[in-house]
Amino acid sequence: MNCQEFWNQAPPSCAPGGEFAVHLTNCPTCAAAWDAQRNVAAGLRRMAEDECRAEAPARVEARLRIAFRLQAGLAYNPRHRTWLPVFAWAAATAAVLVLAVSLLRVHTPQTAAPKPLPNTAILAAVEGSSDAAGDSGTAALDGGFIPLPNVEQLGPNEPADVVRLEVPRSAMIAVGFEVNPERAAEPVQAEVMFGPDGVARAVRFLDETF
Amino acid sequence: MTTPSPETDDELLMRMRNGDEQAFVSLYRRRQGAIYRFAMHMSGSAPAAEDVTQEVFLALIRDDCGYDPERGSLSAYLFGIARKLVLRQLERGKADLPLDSSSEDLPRQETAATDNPLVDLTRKETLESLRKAVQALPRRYREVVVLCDLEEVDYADAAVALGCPIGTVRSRLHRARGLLLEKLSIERNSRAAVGSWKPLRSFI
Repeated sequence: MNCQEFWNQAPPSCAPGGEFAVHLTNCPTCAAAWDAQRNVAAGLRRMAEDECRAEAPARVEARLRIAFRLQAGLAYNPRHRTWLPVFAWAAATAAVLVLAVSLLRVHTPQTAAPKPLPNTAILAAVEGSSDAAGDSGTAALDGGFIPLPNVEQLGPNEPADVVRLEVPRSAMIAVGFEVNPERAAEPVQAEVMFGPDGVARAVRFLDETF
Repeated sequence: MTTPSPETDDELLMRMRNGDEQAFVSLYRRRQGAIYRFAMHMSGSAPAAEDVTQEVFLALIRDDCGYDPERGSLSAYLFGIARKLVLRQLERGKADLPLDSSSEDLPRQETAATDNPLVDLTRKETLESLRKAVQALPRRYREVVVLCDLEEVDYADAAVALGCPIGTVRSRLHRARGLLLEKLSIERNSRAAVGSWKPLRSFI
């Protein structure tokens, strides 16, 4: 084994055996360089030990959990599985109500429609968006938010966070919208209102074509 | 009594794909630290590392990057996404470090095996010197040192994450360690030189 072969095939371990050990015995230059590299590797291990507790801040996990819930389906909660029939009825009622409201209400164009943001910015807004929905409760519902079934609605003075993100169009079925099955997998922009406990309370879809 | 073996990443991923939030949380907690530290070392910026960590796991949630277990481990796949995101941030100039520092162009200095600048690495300041030396490495060397030496990723996984052959990982790692040694020797010599300076009396 020559020097080139040694360095091309040298194992990561600190004490190479077999052919590698023989080469180190016969080649003082490689042996010196190998020792030096071992020292650097040992220093780097100490550095790694020193830093092993460095982690992403807890808020990242909180944001990702929200994103996961929304991706998995709005207000997904295993505890509510036994409430599926109730949920179905509530969804049907919500659909009728939405239809009734949309028939009765004169369609007013939305002024100053919020500009869509990239997903990251949206998630980053989780902490800082309380102001936008700070008036919470009734004001938010006036803003076109649809209360989610099977969850408590926010009180008038309860803080809320509004997060805008993309959800599958099929998620609209959960709040009573009819969705074209061919477009069910398409992403749609939605604003979701979360209570202080992190549970989704209401949703507003920004895409009006279902 | 035998303790149940912890679930593999792939098992957790499968449960996660079926909507199991706890599986996602377990997977996140298992892998986020390494991803965060990798992004931190590569970008030199805590906010950038936070963004990258979040984006990596968002990509996993959205399943829009096509993880294939036959091509490598989930860990390697996550490092690969993190690397691409860090590079994007560096190109945008969002992170603190330049894309490629010119440190490779520093004058070479031969270091003898006995002239070891890491002998007293227990000292905090020496660890700090090493940290700075790692951050000053050119990107292609820095990433391999962070993966293989700091995060103890094996060569095969590092090759998947970096998108290069194992031989390249190996040779870059040797070169990177050599560069680190040179940087630390230069720093130590310059300190010694400063220490040997004699104060001059100034006449005003």
